[in-house]
Parts: sequence; structure tokens; C-alpha cells
Amino acid sequence: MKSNIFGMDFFGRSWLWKVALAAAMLVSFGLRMINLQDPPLDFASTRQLFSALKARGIYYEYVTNVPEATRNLAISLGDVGIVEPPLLENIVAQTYRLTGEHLWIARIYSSFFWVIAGLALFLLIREFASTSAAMVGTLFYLFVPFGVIASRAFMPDPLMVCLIIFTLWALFRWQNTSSWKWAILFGIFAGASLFVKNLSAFIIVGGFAGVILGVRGLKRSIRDLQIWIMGALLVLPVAIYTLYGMLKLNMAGQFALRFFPKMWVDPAFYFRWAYTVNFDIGWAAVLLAALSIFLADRKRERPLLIGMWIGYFLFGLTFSYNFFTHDYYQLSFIPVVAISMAPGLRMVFDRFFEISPGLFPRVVLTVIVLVGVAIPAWYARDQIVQANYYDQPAFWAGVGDKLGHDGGVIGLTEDYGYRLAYWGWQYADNWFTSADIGLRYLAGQNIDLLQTFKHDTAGKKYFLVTMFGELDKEPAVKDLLYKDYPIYAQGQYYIIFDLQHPLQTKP
Amino acid sequence: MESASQTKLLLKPWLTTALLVVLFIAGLGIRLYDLTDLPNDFYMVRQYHSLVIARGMYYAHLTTVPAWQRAMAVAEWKGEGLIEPPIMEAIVALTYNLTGVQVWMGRLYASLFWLIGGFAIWLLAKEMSMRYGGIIALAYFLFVPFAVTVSRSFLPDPLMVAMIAWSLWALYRWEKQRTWKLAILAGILTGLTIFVKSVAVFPMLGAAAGLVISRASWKRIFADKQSWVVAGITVIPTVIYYVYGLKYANLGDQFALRFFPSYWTDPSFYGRWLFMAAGFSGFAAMFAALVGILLYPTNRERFIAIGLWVGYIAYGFTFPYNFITHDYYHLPVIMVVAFGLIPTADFLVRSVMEKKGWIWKAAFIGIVLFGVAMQMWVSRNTMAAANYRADIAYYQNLGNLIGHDKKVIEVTGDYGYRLEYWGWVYGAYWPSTMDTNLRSMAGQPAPVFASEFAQRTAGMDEFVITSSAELDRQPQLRDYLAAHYPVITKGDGYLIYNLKP
Repeated sequence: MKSNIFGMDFFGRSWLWKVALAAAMLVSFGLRMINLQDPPLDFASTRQLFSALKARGIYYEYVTNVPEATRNLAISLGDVGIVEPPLLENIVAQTYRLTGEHLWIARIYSSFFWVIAGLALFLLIREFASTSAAMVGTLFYLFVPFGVIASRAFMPDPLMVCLIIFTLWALFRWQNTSSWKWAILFGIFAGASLFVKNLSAFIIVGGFAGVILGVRGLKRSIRDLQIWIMGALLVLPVAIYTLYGMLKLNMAGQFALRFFPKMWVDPAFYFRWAYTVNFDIGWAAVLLAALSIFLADRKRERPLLIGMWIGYFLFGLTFSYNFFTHDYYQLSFIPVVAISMAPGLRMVFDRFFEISPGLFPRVVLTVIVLVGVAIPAWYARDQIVQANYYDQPAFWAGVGDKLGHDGGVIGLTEDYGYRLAYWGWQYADNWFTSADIGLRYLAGQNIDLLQTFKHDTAGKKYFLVTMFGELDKEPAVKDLLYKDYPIYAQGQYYIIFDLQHPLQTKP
Repeated sequence: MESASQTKLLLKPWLTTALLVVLFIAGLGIRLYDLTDLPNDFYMVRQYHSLVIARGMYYAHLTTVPAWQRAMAVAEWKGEGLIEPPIMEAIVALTYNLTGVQVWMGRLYASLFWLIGGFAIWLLAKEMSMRYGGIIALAYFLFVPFAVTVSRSFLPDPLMVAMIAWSLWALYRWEKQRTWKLAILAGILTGLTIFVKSVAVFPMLGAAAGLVISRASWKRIFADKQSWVVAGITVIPTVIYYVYGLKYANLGDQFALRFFPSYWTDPSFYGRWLFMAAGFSGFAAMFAALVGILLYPTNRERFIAIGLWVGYIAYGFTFPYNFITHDYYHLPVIMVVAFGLIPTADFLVRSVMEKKGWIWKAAFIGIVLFGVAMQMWVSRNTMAAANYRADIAYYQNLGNLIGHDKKVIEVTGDYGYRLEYWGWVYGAYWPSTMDTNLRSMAGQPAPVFASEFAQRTAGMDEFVITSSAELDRQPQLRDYLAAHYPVITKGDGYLIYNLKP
């Protein structure tokens, strides 16, 4: 029998996996830096501009070399409401103080958070399965195109996913060692994760519950001080913040229009869910991950996996509407799939090493893996390169200048008016898009459009339209605007109606 | 000899049969969804090419239609260039004798052929003692959305891929059992496969070469009589067809404007190729199939897999332009990936099935069926979103408006096929910018507009435009027509100039 030069693992020599992992992380970070300075409109633009406005508002609180009016306007435009604690926005704002305001700084932070979590993911899967499985799982995490695009966005989700991974790693280490060190680290990571974005609770609590019920046992766990401390650390930061938010920051509003249990009985809901997963992550990977749960060690591995999957399903059921309309809700599923694939990958690699002990098959396997990485990486690069929004700042600045940077504007305009606010320095109330109207119908609310129009435009100076397709979907409003109001200004991509001087067309 | 673990049945035979039946019924069901919609959803031009031929074949012997219609249908058929032997078209035309002209008949046959090809994949996996991998490979082959779309199209490609699967099965059985009967069967099936569509030669030659090379002995490769017989039988149908086609049917035309080696040095060609192949077959499935090469237990299967991949790559190098402009050129990759999935899937599924308890089997079946249902949903949504039935009345009216006896030249987005098929107007075709670009890429000089216009419109009555976008891409033609000829009529999506004012 031929000798197996590396043992039962591709990375029999420890330096090899370190070099490979470092290279993968560097390349994946570099991939995310392509087209760095393009305005962040390529993915979840509303959410990114929300953070951009907030970060600028925070930054301008420290800026002294601008006119007072500009400073106040930036702070006022940055007051876009509270969704999560503005942690990333604060980090970015503090960096602005050193570098000046550059939107792409957030892209660097988000990318860094995502990529650095690859290290924790690698270590977790390595302990879970094997070094080879860890490498493939980590490559999947770093290069799946949806992950590449979404993880460079200015939103808390990349940091949240990063912290979820560190939390799961600490949890698995604690499961295997029962040490106080890992219990505390779990608590810190989990608490930080929930604090950054409370939606991380589903995966984290799911995994934690899986380990408690499937590995430790409920009875033993109830008497275990470590578990109580872990639970307390997990809950404390987010509990304090939420209480504070509800009482002081008017955060209750963020829970509205999110929970639609009636979708649960609609089969289309589940098909759309699966379609979204297929589109973002890929069916074959998800099926391999699902199949691998059955291949996992019953006591050591499966509880964590089942816990995470149940957490993910509960997440989807809880936010049934957002799950389709907000791609980035799927981000936390990427590490779940990467970890879940590990038992299957381990078995495939074991089989491979069993039947292919020589060097040549390993070289072939390496080439296949590299091709497997190169294709999605190139695809992601293509998406990034094709996005080109460099003309947007000037366009919105022009529209803002027309509107006068003053109040009294309502608009049917992109990203709920955030583009106008960020680059045009102009606040505008939002007129409903067709999606907004649909959402309200879904929630059982009925909107009398013309009555609402009358109410919302009362006292306003201008009605700005930049989404002409949306206006076409609301013919009554379109008709009203064109028939009753003069055009104050217009260009190829915008039209401003003068609301204060209606046309005298009616007798 | 099969090992005990390989032969051990972990899923009861009736359950395996039931699962296969469910997969085939679902596979047929999704392909018959929205059956009667027009074939505009995928490579309309290529599908109408087959529809025109099939109708012409049928009308040639039909006595119940007006003479002018029969003459036109036959003329349209004869006017279609010979690309492959019109096997599908002939089968459909024969069926028209029973059913009358049904535009969906080609779709029905293509779907059935694909399913029959799926059965060959299952048999092949069974022959390799990888039943569970076979179920997964079959599910993949039947339900990957790209395959669903293409395999219900009136093209020879679904039949070709099905035949590739059957040929592989026959070749594999022959290599295992080494009987003269199987050698002849392998030769006949492989020969028919290449006869159906000659480009099947790439994966078939690759796979057959891989199979023979896996013998690892020069003597067994070159001195084997059966191998020479298989090769001999394989080439006979195609050689006869090509000799006939080149001599009597302008078959040589089909080789023109296809071979562009300049693409080989263009990095973007490889990028697009990879995206298309991986996009159609699925990134992860393609990756798993490549890994599958390393997981086959013997060189026999491994070398077939390598041969299939090499054949597919050679195919792409031979037709670089078509490979990145014609999606359906990639259809064989579905077969290649399905074959590669067999060992990976078999190993993983077997590992699950070997676990004690019914829950694992139920879970496996549940996951397979769930995966299938999801893929069906994706395909169903694509089909449901499309409805082209209004084309019939539109082109019939346009045909009546133009007049069936008029000599027309057209600027269209479909080479005039819909007007020809539904409107019974058999016109000449003004080259599109894409055609001109292709010819320019092939080194042909750009035509001079004035002389080309004079030549192409000589004797024509009307200039019909049904693609304003294409006309806008040819401003010289647009302006010339507007300046020199009166408009007979224009309406929703059409504009007709009188060339004989």
C-alpha cells in the first residue's frame, strides 16, 4: 500500500493550513476592496444610507470647521431613528475624525469583520470535523457571492455574523472543555452579538439550547452555574439597551409591520423562502448541509447543528415578510450552512484519503477546490465591478440645490429619501411606494390614497418624483399631480411639483 | 465483484421504485406545465425552425388545406437550412397525422426523451452499484431549472443528451461484460447519438476514449477487436449522413461562422464560459461533480468522468462563439455533472442510510423530495410568468394585413419566423446588426448599404418591420426607408413600407 504522505488530512503539516487560510482571508478581503469608492447603492441601499446618515450626523457633532447651519443640518439628517445600537456608525464616525468623511470606510470595516470571522469559523469547523473540511467550509463562507456582496455593506449585519461565529466557536469550545474561560467568552461574544443586532438571538440561542438539551441535559444544566452566567451575559446588554430604547428612544416603532403569522399557512411562503435561500446561498450547498446533519456525531455535533437550524427556521417564521424583501436576513445562515456541511465534508475527505493516498490526487483536488473558489469569486467580482453609482452624488446634490435644503418637501424617491438626504442635504417626507401600500394591506390597514395625499402634502412646498415607475403604479396620484400642480423644475430623472401654487383648472 | 456493502439494499426495493416513479411523474408534470404556451420562452428562433420543418413535412401530404398553404408550408420547410437530421421534426410531423398541428407536440416529445435519458442515468448508477447516488443524480438531471427549461424545447438537444446517457450506459455495460452483443449495442447507440446531433461527438468521444484508456494496456486498447467494431458502427450513420448532406443538402453551410479561435486568447471568454456552465448546472453541484472524479472506486468510471469533462471542454473550444451566446450548447454539462454527482451523492446518502432507524431513511427521502419541490417551484414560476399566446392572433392579423402572396423583406427580432409560421407570410430577411457583427468577426467585409439594399429588395413589394429596436440599431436603413418609401400602415409593433409606390 502506498504511504499517505500527509496522513488522513490534506493539511498534515500545520504550516500549510495556516498559509492557505491566511491566503484565502487576504484574497477574500482584497475581493471586497474592489471598486471600494463606489457609492454604497449596490446592496440594501436604504439600510446602508441609513447608517451613512447616522454616521455623518455623529461625525458632525465633533466637526467645528463647517458653518453652523451645515453642522446642524447634518446632525438633523442623521436623526433617522433607532433600529439597532449605532455601534458601527460610531466606529465609522470616529474614523472620520481622523480621515475626513469617506463612505467607503464602512466598507472596509464590514469586510474586515466578515473576513476575520473566517478564522473563528475555521477553528470551529476544524475542531468539529477536520482541517480539510474546515478549509472548504471557510472558503465557502468567504467566497459565496451573496456573502461577498452583502458583507461589504454599511450595516450591522457583517459585524453581527462575525460575532455569531465567534460565539458559536466559544460555545463549541465550552461544550468540549467545560472551562470557565470559554463560558465567559461565549457570554461576552453572545452578549455583544445580540447587542449589535438582536436578530442574532435566533441562531445563538438555538445553538445554545441545542447544546444544553442535547449535550448537557436539562437537569444537569439547571444546576450548572456556568450556564446561568452564560445566559446572563448573553441577555444583559441587549436587555438593558432594549429597555432603555423603549423608554427613551421610541424604539417600539421598529417592531411594527414585521410579524405576519398569517403567512405561515400559505404554501407559497415556504416556496419563496426556499427560492430566496437558493438564490442567495445555493441549493446544493444547503442540501449538503442538511444531509450532513444526519452524518454528524449524535452527541457531540448534532445538537449544535439542530439548534442552529431550528433557530434559523424560527427566525424565518418570526420575520416572514422581511425574509423575502430583505436579502440580508439570510446572511446569518451562511455560517450555519458552512458549519453544517462539515460532517459531510469530513466523510468525503476521509473517503478520498482512503482511496487516493498519493500526491497527484491531492494536487488534482487542490485544483478543483481552487476552481471552485475562483468561479464564485470571479462572479462576485463581476457584480462588484458592474455596479457603478459614481454619478449619484452629483445628481442628488443638484436636486437638493433645486429644493433649497429647506423643509417642506415630500417625495416619491429612492431609498425613502435617504439619497436626497445624504448627497442632496435635503430632508423629505416619504410618499408611499407600491410596496409600502402592499405591506399595509397585508397588515390589515386600508389606505385612502387621495385622502392621505391631501393630509401628507398639507403645508408642503414641493413634491419630488424620481421613481417614475412607482408613480405609474399609482395612477390616481400621478393624475392628481400632473393635473393640479405646476412643475417647478424637472430634468431627465426627476420632476418637482410646486404644491403651493396649484393650477386653477376646476371651475 | 461488488462488495457486500455495495450490494446491500438499505432502501426497500418498493420504496426505491416508488421514489423513482414519483421523480419521473413530477419530472413529466413540471415539463407539461403551461404546455400550450408558445415556445418563445427559450431560443424561439431555433424552436420555430423545427416547427416550420415539422409543419412542412406534415402539409406535404395534406389534402385538406388550400393549395397555396400547402405549397407555402413545404417551401418554408425546404427553405430551412439543414443543420441536423430532422429526426424530432419527422416524429412530430408523423404525430400531426393523428392530432393535427399542435405547437406543443415538440415540447411533449422533448420532455419524454429527457425523462428516458434520466432513466439511463439511473440504470448507469445501478450498474455501478451506486443506487443512492443514482437517485440523487436522477433528481438533479430531471429538476435543475436550466435542464427543465431546455428539455421542454423543440430542439434536438434533449434527445441528444438522452442518447448520450443511453450510450454511456451501453458502453459501460459492454466494458464490464465484454460480450459481442453489448459491443454492437454500444456501437449502435453511440452512432445514433452522434447522428442525432453531431456535437455529441465531443462528450461521447471523450467518454469512450476514457473508458478504453482505463484499460491501461496498449494491447488491450489497440488490439481489441470489439473496440474497433464499436468504433466502426459508431461512425457509419454520421458518415453516411454527412456524405449525403454535403453532396445534396448544403450541409457545408452549417460549418460557417462557428469556429472563432480568436476567442481562445480572450480571458473574458473563459470567464463567461465558467459563469454559464456553473450558473446553469449550479456552483455547488458542479464542484461536487468535479470532486466525484476522485471518489469513483475504479479507473473505469473515473476515466469516463474525465473523458466527459475533456469532451465538454473541447466542445467549448471548437464553438467558442456559440458557447457564450447559445445557452443550450451547455445542455450536455447537465449530463456530465449528473454523472459526476453519482459517487459523491452515493457515498453521503449511503452513510446516512446505514444509520439505524427509519427516521434517517424518511429524512433522506424528505430532503430529496423537498429539494425537488423547490426546484419545481423555481421552474414553475418562470413558466407561469410567461404567456405568449397573444402572438398567434397578432401575427395572423399582421399576415392578413400584409397579404400572403406579397413578396416582403423584414427587419425582425426572430428571423421572421413568427410571421412565417402564424401569419403565413414567407419573407426574406434583412440582416440584423448581430448578423453583421458576426460576419465582420469572421473577417467578411462589411456590405455597402446602397448595393445591399438594392440587391435584397429587388422584386420585393413591402418592407416589414416588427422590431423597432433592431431598426433603430440600423439608422442608415431606418432613414433611407423613411426618406424614400411611403408607409402603407403602421400599428402596435409593426411598420410596413411600400417598396413599389
